[in-house]
Amino acid sequence: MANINAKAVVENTYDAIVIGSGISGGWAAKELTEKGIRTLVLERGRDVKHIVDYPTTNLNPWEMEHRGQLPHKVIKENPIVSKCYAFHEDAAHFFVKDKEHPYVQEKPFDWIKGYQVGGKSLLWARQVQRWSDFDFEGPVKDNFAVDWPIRYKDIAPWYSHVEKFAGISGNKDGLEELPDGEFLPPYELTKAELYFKDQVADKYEDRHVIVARCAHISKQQPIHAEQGRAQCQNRTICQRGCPYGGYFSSNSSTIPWAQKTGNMTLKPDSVVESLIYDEEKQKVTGVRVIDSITKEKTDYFARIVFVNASAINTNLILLNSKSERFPNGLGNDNGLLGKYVAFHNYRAKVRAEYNGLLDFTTDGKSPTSGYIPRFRNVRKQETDFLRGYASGLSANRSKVNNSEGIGTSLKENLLDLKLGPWRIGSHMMGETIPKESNFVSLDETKKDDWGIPLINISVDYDENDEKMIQDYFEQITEMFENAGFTNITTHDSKQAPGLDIHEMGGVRMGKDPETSLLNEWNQLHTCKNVFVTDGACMTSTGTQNPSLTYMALTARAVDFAVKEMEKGNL
Amino acid sequence: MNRRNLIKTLGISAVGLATVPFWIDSWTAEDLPEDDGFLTGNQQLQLSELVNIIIPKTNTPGAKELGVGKFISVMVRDCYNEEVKAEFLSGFGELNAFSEDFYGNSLIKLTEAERNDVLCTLESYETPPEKKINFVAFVKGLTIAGFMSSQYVMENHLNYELVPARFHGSFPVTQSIYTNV
Repeated sequence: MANINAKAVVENTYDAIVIGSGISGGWAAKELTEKGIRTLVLERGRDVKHIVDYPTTNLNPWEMEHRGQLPHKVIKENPIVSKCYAFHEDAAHFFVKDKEHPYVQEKPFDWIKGYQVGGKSLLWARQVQRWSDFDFEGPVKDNFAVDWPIRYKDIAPWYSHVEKFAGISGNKDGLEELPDGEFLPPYELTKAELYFKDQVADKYEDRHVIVARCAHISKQQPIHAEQGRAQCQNRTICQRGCPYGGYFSSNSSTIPWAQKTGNMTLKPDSVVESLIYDEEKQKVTGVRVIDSITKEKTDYFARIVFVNASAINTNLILLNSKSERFPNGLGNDNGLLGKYVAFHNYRAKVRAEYNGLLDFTTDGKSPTSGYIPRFRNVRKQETDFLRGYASGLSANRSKVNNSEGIGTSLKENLLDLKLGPWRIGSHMMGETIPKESNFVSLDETKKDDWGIPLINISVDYDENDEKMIQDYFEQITEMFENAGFTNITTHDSKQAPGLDIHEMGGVRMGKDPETSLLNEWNQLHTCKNVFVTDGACMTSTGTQNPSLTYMALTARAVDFAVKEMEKGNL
Repeated sequence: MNRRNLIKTLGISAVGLATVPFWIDSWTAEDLPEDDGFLTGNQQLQLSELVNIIIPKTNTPGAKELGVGKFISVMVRDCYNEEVKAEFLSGFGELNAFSEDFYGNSLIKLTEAERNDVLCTLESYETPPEKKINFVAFVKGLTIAGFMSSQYVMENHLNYELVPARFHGSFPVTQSIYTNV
């Protein structure tokens, strides 16, 4: 063991260790420390303190050297992360560059990473839709993956718990397939989005256009003031970090909250190599950490460990945690660790124009947009593919740029501001079916800068995904046509999995230790003091943006873990 | 730098002196910038004049006053590949050569109407397959980008706000700074 002596063991011992400070790790830290648990939070990246470490947050466009664009050299050196919609001059410092932590693409997979305190919670798209039982019951109803060990009623109170603290704007839509939550006032839809909502309501019984629920403080409550967070100021440059704390991130919310309890020790620059399994005690006693800068190894000890390293890195850490008892990775008796990885299918878009309602435009900025909850195969199987898709929906007036001419005529054209038709955009968020053949594994030879094996990613689309894309094109086109939209075009980006940044699974929950890794409390079936509550735990993917569910599962699992500790079971 | 040297630097012959634009007289030594590591001082001046032709000063500042030349220099230096950079650098010479052929003078000595004609003509040319850019269209595009994202234009013409603090989804066009096409 590295650097071990009795004194060091005492000094390096906590009640709990949380690996990762992103959206779920932050929640683990908050919930544990609030319950009086002395918690070590390990973050592999650098520290990013709320506000002070948001260097670009108040820059105007003209104050950025390249007005937001990234230098050619950066793009050339980073072919993967450059594909991400938010990787621009104002936020590039919050993304992991391609060569900083390479991985092996057995099949094309764009893995987007954020290694810093707060992780990708600084960068996320802040969409927070609840799951319903139509999602939790998917696998057992449609006979794929394994049955979720929980149902909506198990997680509903924890959704509420998380929503109240995080601050979620939304409308109570009364939809069984997308349950309502604890909402702050909703943002407005645009005039054309409202029109489309009415058109869809007229023509389809089971299809709905709503305003997407988002993690923005549309009206500050005392709990947000207590966090030092103010109302969202509609800047919509959230990816830079928000000086108002207007949207939820670990940095603005859970991490400082945990810090305030006095029970959290936060160690940035700490790469977790593995969890330490004690063969005699038959449990994990701690984690082995490599200082990301000095490469020095240190062991830390705790009664329980929460693994929230982000879906793929959680798989990597567990696969790399080998012992006599678990030669194939921690908790991996059934050989399923790393398997049944899934994601969201974001390949498809439909665009259109609308030439009505031209007396209206928008004023200010909305941090969210429209949303169409899944309507396919919800109550009965309607198609020759399984499951379905949700859809983002936005409609804004197009700005007509007249750049004709040279000289004074050009100048006049440019400054004569004109609005064209409403431009409608819709993007698909398709559920994918987890399969054993979609997996991550440790590379047998290649290692990273810290001597840890590279992760090999082998994930692909299948026929179900292709059929779903076609159906999405057909259905959205039909809905657009019915609303009188014109110039309807469909687009398949053919993007690789990963770019959706919704990778999930590999350490799935389930009822049976033979076919799953985690139980209904997110405990490893075969090593009960280890909890996994990030994207790795997901048995299936649903169509909803998944972070809210990770947060709720985390709070729920911490509640259980602390009760078990109090009972002496952990 | 005195007027004579400046004229020499800009490649204007003595014959053309009578038609040398007025602005040359108002220039001082400080006006010829240092080599910025990408463009020579001379190239910077040429670029600055080109953006001035594309979006001139009227009763409001033009692209030159708003530093668009510098913006283009930085953008081309950092945000484009070597082929585009090379074509951009050689574009100035080609532009003047075309101008000489077309109107018998370098661009800077033409009347406003002649310059606009040269640039519009060149802009309309299709980029040949072996080339990455149409120089005039490329510079014009960057000039527009730099002009429209300048502080002056964003604050005075586009009603830009860093902190809108509001969103109205159904806002009357009549109350906006836009009009319908």
